[in-house]
Amino acid sequence: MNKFLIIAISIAASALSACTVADRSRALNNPNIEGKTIAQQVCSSCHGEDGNSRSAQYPKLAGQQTAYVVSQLNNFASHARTDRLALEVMAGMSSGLNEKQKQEIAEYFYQQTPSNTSLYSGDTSLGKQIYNLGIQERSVMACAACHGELAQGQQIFPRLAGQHKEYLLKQLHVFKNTHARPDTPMAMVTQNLSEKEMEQVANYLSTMK
Amino acid sequence: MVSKNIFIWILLSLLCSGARALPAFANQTGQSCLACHAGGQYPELTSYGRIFKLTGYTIGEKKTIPISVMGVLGATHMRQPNSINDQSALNTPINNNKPNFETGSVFFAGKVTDNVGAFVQVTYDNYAAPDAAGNNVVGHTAADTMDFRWADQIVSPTRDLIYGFSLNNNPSVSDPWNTSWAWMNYVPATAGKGANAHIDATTPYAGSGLSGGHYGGLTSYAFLNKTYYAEVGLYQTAKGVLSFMNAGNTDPIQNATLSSTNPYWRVAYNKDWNASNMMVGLSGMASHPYDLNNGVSLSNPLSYQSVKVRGIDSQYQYLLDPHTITVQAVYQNQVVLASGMDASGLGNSNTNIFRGKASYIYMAKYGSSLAYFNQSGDFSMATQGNTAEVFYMPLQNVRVGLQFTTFNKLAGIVNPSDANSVRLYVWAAY
Repeated sequence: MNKFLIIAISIAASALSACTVADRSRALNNPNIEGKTIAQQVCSSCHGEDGNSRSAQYPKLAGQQTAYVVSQLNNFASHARTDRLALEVMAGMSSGLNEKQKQEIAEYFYQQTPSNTSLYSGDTSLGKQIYNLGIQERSVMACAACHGELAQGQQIFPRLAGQHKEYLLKQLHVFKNTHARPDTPMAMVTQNLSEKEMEQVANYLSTMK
Repeated sequence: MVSKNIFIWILLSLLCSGARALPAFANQTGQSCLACHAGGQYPELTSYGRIFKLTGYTIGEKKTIPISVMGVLGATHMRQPNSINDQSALNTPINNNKPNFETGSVFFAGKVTDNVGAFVQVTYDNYAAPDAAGNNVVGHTAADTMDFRWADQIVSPTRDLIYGFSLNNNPSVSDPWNTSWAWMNYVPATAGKGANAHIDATTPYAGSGLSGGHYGGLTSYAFLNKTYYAEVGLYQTAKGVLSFMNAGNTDPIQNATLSSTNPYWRVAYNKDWNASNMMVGLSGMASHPYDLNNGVSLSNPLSYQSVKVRGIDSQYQYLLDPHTITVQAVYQNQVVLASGMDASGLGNSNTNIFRGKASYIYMAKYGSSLAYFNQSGDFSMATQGNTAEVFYMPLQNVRVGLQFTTFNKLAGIVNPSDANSVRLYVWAAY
């Protein structure tokens, strides 16, 4: 038997005999796995190991409100959210999690430090004005009323500060143009916002610390 | 023929069953194809799909029977098959303009333990071997892609290291980017026979420089902070306990025989920003395959050629639902030194291959792509052309595509445009 085969068989034997390392598991239906492990081993694949996702396809979760993350995991699992990635990606990820794991995942990401990766350097005054004051003549509520002056969020209202602009804009379109997220008042809020105004708000939020 | 009919029956039965039509990995994670495949365009991977692969296919729930099936129905119209046949003797008139069941695969794929997973493909090729008249119309089943992995991931808020081993049978099949040799040519086809002699699948792609069967290889890899990737491996003839990795392909055995162990290497730099992802990488391999034309015996060291390949590849992806954009470019140099038994030296060659491709997919349903390929060399080698494609995915696991492949140059063919081909295919998986 040559060296190549010996190495191959040794590695295969080691791999097959390896015990499950509970803090390295990527299982999504095992109640014995801690939420922190799931956050680090699975969620981090898209949302980043520190909750600051690199891709705007996926939201940043660092510093996100715990209650909001838990509520969304429940909405994914129950199919209450039907926007495409919620239904086709997150539903499967969350359906096997128990309540304790969801809470632990949410707490892990809440404890992470948000980072701002926005490359936007343009004027954010209109977005800031809409965020803080709304547009009274068109009955557009001030975003800050629910999400906080610093866009830090509160309870089930999510943190928005420093979020990817592209992700924010995509979700505003979901609220305005679909019925995929019926659990929020955002459909009403966005109804009278123009495309330009939504983009300005997203620009402003993405630049917040 | 019996096995062909059984395979079609199984495939159609599964597709018509009305059950959730999801392959093994999707069943394991509960996710749709588009979680791992860019715009649902399998096999091109998203950032998450790359992580799923590198962590050894271990995300999710272990399934008792992780089986999937895949099949391709196709029909090709070659512009002047009689003209091409006169110059290449590839029997190009057969099957021209006729729908055919071309190829089908069975997969055993998924999580074994928290650290071990596998992707095992066995493929039935409906036009694998010649009949008595010399036409390739006899079906055959053989080992296809095989990738057994052990992987681990160490994560902290400041560091993310994925590392592992892959026991596989095709150099670069373990690579997570689709500009790698094994994955850029993505629509399965019975290639090189009959009317399919000059479809996109047979045009020049970067490769290991090896032909014929599959091999036994062990690679180790690491991916640090989703930024730096490195992989090294050794390949040899799939013999002894590894012979199953080339089962069905050893006819003749020389097709899949390498001398000693043959190194493969790969490095890549990956970056994500906004909705974009970009990778730039280098790869190479040095191997010693048996000289099929001049070799005298497997035990004679002078019966082996020396093949060295090295290349640079790059991929850009923009992923923001409902839009998916991918741009790929690969440049590779292949140097073949003739074996000691090749007194004429005709086996010597130095070839450069370039391929670029751009694709756009909307809503994971409607897609199009444009590719350019160019292989350097004298009249007998130089090949250059384009492939344009449109496709539609009515279901996430069914793709209907139309490919137009045109040639400006085609190795040794006087009128290359005679080989221009249009191919309609239906590709389904369950």
